[in-house]
Amino acid sequence: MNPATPNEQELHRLFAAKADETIIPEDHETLCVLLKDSAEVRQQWFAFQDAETALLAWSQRETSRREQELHISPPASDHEHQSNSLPYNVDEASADNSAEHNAAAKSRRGSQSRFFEAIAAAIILGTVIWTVWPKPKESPAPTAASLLSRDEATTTSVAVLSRGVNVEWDRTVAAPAVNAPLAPGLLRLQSGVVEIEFFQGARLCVEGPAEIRLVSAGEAFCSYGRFSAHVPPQARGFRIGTPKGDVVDLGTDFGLDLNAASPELHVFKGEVELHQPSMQVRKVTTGNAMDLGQPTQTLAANAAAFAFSHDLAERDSASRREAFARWQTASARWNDDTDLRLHLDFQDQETSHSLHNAALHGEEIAPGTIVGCNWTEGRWPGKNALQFRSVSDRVRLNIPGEYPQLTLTAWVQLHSLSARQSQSSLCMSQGIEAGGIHWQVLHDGSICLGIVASAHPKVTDDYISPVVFTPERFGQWTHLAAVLDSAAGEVRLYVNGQLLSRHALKRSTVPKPAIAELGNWIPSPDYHGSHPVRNFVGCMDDFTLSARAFTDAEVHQFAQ
Amino acid sequence: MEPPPPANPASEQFITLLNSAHSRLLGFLRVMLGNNADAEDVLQRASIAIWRKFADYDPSKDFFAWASSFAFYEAKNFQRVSSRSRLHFDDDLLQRLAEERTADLQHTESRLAAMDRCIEELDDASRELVREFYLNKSEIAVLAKRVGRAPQTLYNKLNALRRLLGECMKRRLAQEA
Repeated sequence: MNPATPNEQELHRLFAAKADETIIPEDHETLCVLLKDSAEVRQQWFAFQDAETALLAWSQRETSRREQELHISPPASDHEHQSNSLPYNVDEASADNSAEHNAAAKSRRGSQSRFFEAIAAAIILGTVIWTVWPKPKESPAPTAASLLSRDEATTTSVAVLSRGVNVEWDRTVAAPAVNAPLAPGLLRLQSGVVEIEFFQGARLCVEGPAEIRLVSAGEAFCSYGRFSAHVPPQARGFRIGTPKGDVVDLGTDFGLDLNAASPELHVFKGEVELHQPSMQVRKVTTGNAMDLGQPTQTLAANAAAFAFSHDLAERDSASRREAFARWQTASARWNDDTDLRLHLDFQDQETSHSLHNAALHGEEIAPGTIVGCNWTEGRWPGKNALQFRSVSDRVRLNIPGEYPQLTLTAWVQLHSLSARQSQSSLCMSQGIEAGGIHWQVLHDGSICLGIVASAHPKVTDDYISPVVFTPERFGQWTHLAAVLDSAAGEVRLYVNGQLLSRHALKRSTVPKPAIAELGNWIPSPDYHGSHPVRNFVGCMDDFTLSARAFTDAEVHQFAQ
Repeated sequence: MEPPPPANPASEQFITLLNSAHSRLLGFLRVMLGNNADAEDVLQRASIAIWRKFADYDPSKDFFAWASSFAFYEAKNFQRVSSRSRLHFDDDLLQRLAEERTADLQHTESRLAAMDRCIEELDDASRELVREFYLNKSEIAVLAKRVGRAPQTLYNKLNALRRLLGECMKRRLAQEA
């Protein structure tokens, strides 16, 4: 006996119960009969399953976007700081990021790319025993875990945002910075032009407004916008899905205009395959274009329509020069802040061995002395920065006075972290003296502000953020700030202008930085024996110290 | 168990093809198995079979059409040997779903795009519930405890949202068509 077709609500209940594996046998029987009897019900079942796919993918992307926005991921249990020497004391992270939650997110995120990593690696290594692959339920995302050593770093990235001009992202979706690695997921560009380099080798210029979903290192789906692709031979097979069919590149340059009344494909060099539902695969070759709505007609390719991709390099330089000019104006304004005591802007001559203090109210703090280090280009052409590479590289400072309220800020580009080195100095007072400040990056990529409460016996109050520096952040300019607000009884740590964590002050020790070093640390100048390596590996720009606890808004402004 | 052959142009081609067909194969399997975890599981098994038979693949033919037949047999196989649940679609139904889904897959990307917009229309609390649920499906009880609700209440609320989202998706697709 066939059940009557239920209403939509009941049908949805059956679908959901089946998908969640909570369905009871009677309902399952009903569902089977409905599916067998009705093409309409089968259609709805397909749409339901696609909706489930979309919701799962969105949840993974959203979690990953939040992590990227804050640039954090809480430490995994096997990376936790040893509780006796470095208590993990995040009292209150700025977002809902329980460790259990994120661990789940990580294990499922980017399942496709890991899946292919596993397959690719297995084929290449020829050593994996297929039957021992981890199985779902316990680990729904297939992983390359068997190919990795226990603590090996992993990434879900499939591409990098290599350039951007006048970029306005839809920030509710994602807002990656230039040089940021990109994981599979949605990007919505409201205006401007960006260039995305896929790890497989294809380079895609996108002109906003545009919407693109990165699928893998060799595939993307574009809903609207204008796109110009360069696909070298090694990236052959690069695929762009569109609402009107898929474009598969056979090694070429082509343009795709999805904003035209009817989408158009223009091939400037080489050959492109057009796959459309219930149509034969068509090839479009050099100099030709095709209206995807009327794929039977061949038109002439129009390179001028994709001019946005030709002058991207020049426009990129121009926009970087403008950013530098804006920095110069803003910098002059900060320098006049009465609480700003030290501003190393690194705009010294490249032969210089000292760093002038640009703060107008910082007469007490003498120029810093550079030991080792290399001058390098900073955030823009014309902006200098210092590169720290070896264990000897450092900048020596003398910061007299007491700072009951204190803000430290710096732009840093971290290049690596060593597992054998527990701490990398951002700015550390020499030795262990009461009031000394120890601002550092810990080996797992978290940030720590330590205040020495007492030298004998040695007691340091450490305030440690969640993880900031994962391998995806290496090489990217990142703004860091640490605020000691004794009036509010708390320490606040920030990354890129966003509050990262807030910690109750453990003791009211007044900071006295005294002799301090950027990028390094020594126990004392007359110390003979060996001491732990604390050098920072990366570049630094715009270091400031203020005798005021910056508010969230002020830190945000500083990070612009 | 024979070891897989060493890397060669065929394996690169295989990876590229499988990569580009991955989401469609997964979508194909989902409607037969009912959930993502099983679909992923079966796709892994099918990938091995596809790789072993890859020498027989005729590059002038559509890869998905060729690969999906392996996925289909793997799905049937999976249901036979899987001990987790006895509630499976029978072979006749599987056959029909497979046939119709192949053509239906052309709608998948626009459904995903429509759904992405629908999610944005939800209020923050609802979005958060959706996110929590899909990230960690088996933990609805844990989630309920954390927000201080009865698991069934939370599950009902979630299903109401899923239905709302499904309707929004259909509406958007109808508008676009």
